[in-house]
Amino acid sequence: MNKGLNSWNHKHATRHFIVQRITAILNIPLSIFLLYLIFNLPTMTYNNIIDLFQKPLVTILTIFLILNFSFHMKLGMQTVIEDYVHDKKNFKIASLLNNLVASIVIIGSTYSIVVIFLMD
Amino acid sequence: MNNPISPHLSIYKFKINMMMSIAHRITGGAMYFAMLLLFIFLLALSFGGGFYNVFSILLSTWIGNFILVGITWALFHHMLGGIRHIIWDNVKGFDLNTIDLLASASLIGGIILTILFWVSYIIFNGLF
Repeated sequence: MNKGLNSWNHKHATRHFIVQRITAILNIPLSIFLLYLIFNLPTMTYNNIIDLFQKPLVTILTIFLILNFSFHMKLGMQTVIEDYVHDKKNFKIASLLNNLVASIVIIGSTYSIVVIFLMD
Repeated sequence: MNNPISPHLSIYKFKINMMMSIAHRITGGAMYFAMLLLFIFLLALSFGGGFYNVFSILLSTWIGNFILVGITWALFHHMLGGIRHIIWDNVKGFDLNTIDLLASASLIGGIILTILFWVSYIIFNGLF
Protein backbone atom coordinates (compact mmCIF):
# COMPACT_ATOMS: atom_id res chain seq x y z
CA MET A 1 0.00 0.00 0.00
CA ASN A 2 1.68 3.11 -1.24
CA LYS A 3 1.32 6.77 -0.53
CA GLY A 4 -0.78 8.63 -3.07
CA LEU A 5 -2.43 5.42 -4.24
CA ASN A 6 -5.18 5.92 -6.80
CA SER A 7 -4.50 9.65 -6.67
CA TRP A 8 -5.03 10.03 -10.42
CA ASN A 9 -8.67 9.20 -9.88
CA HIS A 10 -9.34 11.63 -7.06
CA LYS A 11 -9.28 14.55 -9.50
CA HIS A 12 -11.92 12.84 -11.60
CA ALA A 13 -14.16 11.63 -8.77
CA THR A 14 -16.94 14.14 -9.38
CA ARG A 15 -16.92 13.49 -13.12
CA HIS A 16 -16.93 9.73 -12.42
CA PHE A 17 -19.98 10.14 -10.15
CA ILE A 18 -21.89 12.24 -12.70
CA VAL A 19 -21.08 10.10 -15.76
CA GLN A 20 -21.94 6.96 -13.76
CA ARG A 21 -25.42 8.38 -13.00
CA ILE A 22 -26.10 9.77 -16.49
CA THR A 23 -25.13 6.48 -18.17
CA ALA A 24 -27.14 4.59 -15.52
CA ILE A 25 -30.34 6.49 -16.32
CA LEU A 26 -29.82 6.24 -20.10
CA ASN A 27 -29.16 2.49 -19.67
CA ILE A 28 -32.79 1.97 -18.63
CA PRO A 29 -34.40 2.74 -22.04
CA LEU A 30 -31.42 1.14 -23.82
CA SER A 31 -31.92 -2.05 -21.77
CA ILE A 32 -35.52 -2.18 -22.94
CA PHE A 33 -34.22 -1.99 -26.52
CA LEU A 34 -31.75 -4.82 -25.73
CA LEU A 35 -34.55 -6.92 -24.20
CA TYR A 36 -36.58 -6.32 -27.37
CA LEU A 37 -33.64 -7.73 -29.37
CA ILE A 38 -33.20 -10.74 -27.04
CA PHE A 39 -36.95 -11.40 -27.29
CA ASN A 40 -37.12 -11.28 -31.10
CA LEU A 41 -33.75 -12.27 -32.58
CA PRO A 42 -33.69 -16.00 -31.66
CA THR A 43 -36.64 -16.77 -33.96
CA MET A 44 -35.36 -14.60 -36.85
CA THR A 45 -33.28 -15.80 -39.80
CA TYR A 46 -29.84 -14.33 -40.50
CA ASN A 47 -31.16 -12.26 -43.42
CA ASN A 48 -34.03 -10.85 -41.35
CA ILE A 49 -31.61 -9.88 -38.58
CA ILE A 50 -29.35 -8.09 -41.09
CA ASP A 51 -32.42 -6.26 -42.48
CA LEU A 52 -33.35 -5.20 -38.95
CA PHE A 53 -29.84 -3.94 -38.14
CA GLN A 54 -29.76 -1.98 -41.41
CA LYS A 55 -32.66 0.20 -40.27
CA PRO A 56 -31.03 3.56 -39.37
CA LEU A 57 -32.88 3.80 -36.04
CA VAL A 58 -31.71 0.32 -34.99
CA THR A 59 -28.14 1.10 -36.12
CA ILE A 60 -28.06 4.34 -34.12
CA LEU A 61 -29.68 2.76 -31.04
CA THR A 62 -27.22 -0.17 -31.13
CA ILE A 63 -24.17 2.14 -31.37
CA PHE A 64 -25.59 4.28 -28.56
CA LEU A 65 -26.26 1.14 -26.49
CA ILE A 66 -22.67 -0.08 -26.96
CA LEU A 67 -21.22 3.32 -26.03
CA ASN A 68 -23.44 3.87 -23.00
CA PHE A 69 -23.14 0.31 -21.62
CA SER A 70 -19.36 0.31 -22.18
CA PHE A 71 -18.77 3.61 -20.37
CA HIS A 72 -21.01 2.50 -17.49
CA MET A 73 -19.31 -0.90 -17.13
CA LYS A 74 -15.86 0.69 -17.36
CA LEU A 75 -16.69 3.11 -14.52
CA GLY A 76 -18.26 0.33 -12.45
CA MET A 77 -15.25 -1.97 -12.86
CA GLN A 78 -12.94 0.97 -12.05
CA THR A 79 -14.74 1.38 -8.71
CA VAL A 80 -14.38 -2.35 -8.00
CA ILE A 81 -10.64 -2.15 -8.85
CA GLU A 82 -10.23 0.89 -6.57
CA ASP A 83 -11.92 -1.03 -3.74
CA TYR A 84 -10.10 -4.34 -4.01
CA VAL A 85 -6.73 -3.80 -5.77
CA HIS A 86 -4.46 -2.08 -3.27
CA ASP A 87 -1.05 -2.75 -4.80
CA LYS A 88 -0.07 0.25 -6.93
CA LYS A 89 1.41 -1.77 -9.80
CA ASN A 90 -1.51 -4.22 -9.93
CA PHE A 91 -3.88 -1.28 -9.72
CA LYS A 92 -2.33 0.29 -12.80
CA ILE A 93 -2.36 -3.01 -14.71
CA ALA A 94 -6.00 -3.71 -13.78
CA SER A 95 -7.06 -0.17 -14.74
CA LEU A 96 -5.21 -0.44 -18.05
CA LEU A 97 -6.87 -3.82 -18.79
CA ASN A 98 -10.26 -2.34 -17.91
CA ASN A 99 -9.76 0.54 -20.34
CA LEU A 100 -8.48 -1.89 -22.96
CA VAL A 101 -11.55 -4.16 -22.68
CA ALA A 102 -13.95 -1.18 -22.89
CA SER A 103 -12.05 0.21 -25.89
CA ILE A 104 -12.07 -3.15 -27.72
CA VAL A 105 -15.81 -3.56 -27.11
CA ILE A 106 -16.57 -0.02 -28.31
CA ILE A 107 -14.30 -0.02 -31.38
CA GLY A 108 -14.99 -3.65 -32.37
CA SER A 109 -18.76 -3.41 -31.96
CA THR A 110 -19.05 -0.08 -33.76
CA TYR A 111 -16.92 -1.47 -36.61
CA SER A 112 -19.21 -4.54 -36.84
CA ILE A 113 -22.36 -2.38 -36.79
CA VAL A 114 -21.01 -0.21 -39.63
CA VAL A 115 -20.01 -3.33 -41.65
CA ILE A 116 -23.52 -4.77 -41.15
CA PHE A 117 -25.10 -1.44 -42.16
CA LEU A 118 -23.07 -1.34 -45.39
CA MET A 119 -23.85 -4.97 -46.35
CA ASP A 120 -25.81 -5.60 -49.59
CA MET B 1 -2.11 3.01 4.13
CA ASN B 2 -4.05 6.02 2.96
CA ASN B 3 -7.16 4.32 1.70
CA PRO B 4 -9.82 3.33 4.22
CA ILE B 5 -10.28 -0.43 4.02
CA SER B 6 -13.50 -2.14 4.97
CA PRO B 7 -13.29 -4.68 7.82
CA HIS B 8 -13.66 -8.30 6.85
CA LEU B 9 -17.18 -9.19 5.71
CA SER B 10 -17.54 -12.03 8.22
CA ILE B 11 -17.83 -9.66 11.19
CA TYR B 12 -21.17 -8.36 9.88
CA LYS B 13 -24.54 -9.82 10.75
CA PHE B 14 -26.31 -11.00 7.61
CA LYS B 15 -28.64 -8.35 6.23
CA ILE B 16 -30.66 -8.25 3.01
CA ASN B 17 -29.32 -4.79 2.05
CA MET B 18 -25.71 -5.97 2.46
CA MET B 19 -26.55 -8.99 0.30
CA MET B 20 -28.11 -6.72 -2.35
CA SER B 21 -25.04 -4.47 -2.34
CA ILE B 22 -22.88 -7.52 -3.10
CA ALA B 23 -25.38 -8.78 -5.69
CA HIS B 24 -25.28 -5.37 -7.41
CA ARG B 25 -21.53 -5.76 -7.90
CA ILE B 26 -21.77 -9.42 -8.94
CA THR B 27 -24.51 -8.76 -11.53
CA GLY B 28 -22.57 -5.72 -12.80
CA GLY B 29 -19.42 -7.81 -13.09
CA ALA B 30 -21.31 -10.60 -14.86
CA MET B 31 -22.69 -8.12 -17.40
CA TYR B 32 -19.14 -6.85 -17.98
CA PHE B 33 -18.50 -10.25 -19.56
CA ALA B 34 -21.96 -10.31 -21.16
CA MET B 35 -20.86 -7.24 -23.12
CA LEU B 36 -18.16 -9.41 -24.70
CA LEU B 37 -20.94 -11.78 -25.79
CA LEU B 38 -22.84 -8.87 -27.37
CA PHE B 39 -19.60 -7.84 -29.11
CA ILE B 40 -19.08 -11.42 -30.41
CA PHE B 41 -22.73 -11.47 -31.58
CA LEU B 42 -22.23 -8.29 -33.65
CA LEU B 43 -18.88 -9.56 -34.93
CA ALA B 44 -20.48 -12.88 -36.00
CA LEU B 45 -23.28 -10.99 -37.77
CA SER B 46 -20.73 -8.88 -39.67
CA PHE B 47 -18.68 -11.98 -40.63
CA GLY B 48 -21.65 -13.66 -42.34
CA GLY B 49 -24.40 -16.24 -42.02
CA GLY B 50 -22.08 -19.19 -41.30
CA PHE B 51 -20.47 -17.46 -38.32
CA TYR B 52 -23.84 -16.30 -37.01
CA ASN B 53 -25.21 -19.86 -37.22
CA VAL B 54 -22.36 -21.15 -35.04
CA PHE B 55 -23.09 -18.38 -32.50
CA SER B 56 -26.81 -19.17 -32.66
CA ILE B 57 -26.29 -22.93 -32.20
CA LEU B 58 -23.98 -22.35 -29.21
CA LEU B 59 -26.59 -20.09 -27.56
CA SER B 60 -29.34 -22.66 -28.16
CA THR B 61 -27.57 -25.30 -26.02
CA TRP B 62 -28.77 -25.58 -22.44
CA ILE B 63 -25.60 -23.86 -21.25
CA GLY B 64 -26.29 -21.07 -23.76
CA ASN B 65 -29.88 -20.77 -22.55
CA PHE B 66 -28.71 -20.73 -18.94
CA ILE B 67 -26.27 -17.91 -19.73
CA LEU B 68 -28.97 -15.94 -21.59
CA VAL B 69 -31.50 -16.27 -18.75
CA GLY B 70 -28.74 -15.38 -16.29
CA ILE B 71 -27.89 -12.24 -18.26
CA THR B 72 -31.53 -11.08 -18.31
CA TRP B 73 -31.80 -11.69 -14.57
CA ALA B 74 -28.55 -9.78 -13.96
CA LEU B 75 -29.88 -6.94 -16.14
CA PHE B 76 -33.23 -6.71 -14.31
CA HIS B 77 -31.62 -7.07 -10.89
CA HIS B 78 -28.90 -4.50 -11.59
CA MET B 79 -31.45 -2.10 -13.11
CA LEU B 80 -33.74 -2.24 -10.06
CA GLY B 81 -30.69 -1.94 -7.77
CA GLY B 82 -29.59 1.08 -9.82
CA ILE B 83 -33.00 2.72 -9.49
CA ARG B 84 -32.65 2.19 -5.71
CA HIS B 85 -29.33 4.03 -5.84
CA ILE B 86 -30.87 6.89 -7.83
CA ILE B 87 -33.57 7.21 -5.13
CA TRP B 88 -30.78 7.40 -2.51
CA ASP B 89 -28.87 9.97 -4.62
CA ASN B 90 -31.94 12.19 -4.25
CA VAL B 91 -31.59 11.87 -0.46
CA LYS B 92 -34.79 9.84 -0.18
CA GLY B 93 -35.52 6.44 1.33
CA PHE B 94 -32.83 6.38 4.01
CA ASP B 95 -34.95 5.17 6.93
CA LEU B 96 -34.30 1.55 7.88
CA ASN B 97 -37.74 0.26 6.87
CA THR B 98 -37.49 1.77 3.38
CA ILE B 99 -33.93 0.44 2.97
CA ASP B 100 -35.07 -3.11 3.79
CA LEU B 101 -38.21 -2.72 1.65
CA LEU B 102 -36.24 -1.50 -1.40
CA ALA B 103 -33.65 -4.27 -0.97
CA SER B 104 -36.33 -6.97 -0.87
CA ALA B 105 -38.24 -5.31 -3.71
CA SER B 106 -35.18 -5.29 -6.00
CA LEU B 107 -34.44 -8.95 -5.21
CA ILE B 108 -38.02 -10.17 -5.73
CA GLY B 109 -38.69 -7.71 -8.58
CA GLY B 110 -35.64 -8.91 -10.51
CA ILE B 111 -36.72 -12.55 -10.23
CA ILE B 112 -40.36 -11.77 -11.17
CA LEU B 113 -39.35 -9.67 -14.22
CA THR B 114 -37.00 -12.46 -15.40
CA ILE B 115 -39.76 -15.07 -15.08
CA LEU B 116 -42.30 -12.78 -16.81
CA PHE B 117 -39.85 -12.10 -19.65
CA TRP B 118 -39.09 -15.76 -20.37
CA VAL B 119 -42.66 -17.00 -19.84
CA SER B 120 -43.90 -14.44 -22.37
CA TYR B 121 -41.00 -15.42 -24.63
CA ILE B 122 -42.17 -19.06 -24.55
CA ILE B 123 -45.83 -18.03 -25.06
CA PHE B 124 -44.98 -15.88 -28.11
CA ASN B 125 -42.07 -17.80 -29.61
CA GLY B 126 -42.49 -21.36 -28.34
CA LEU B 127 -39.90 -23.43 -26.52
CA PHE B 128 -37.73 -24.25 -29.55
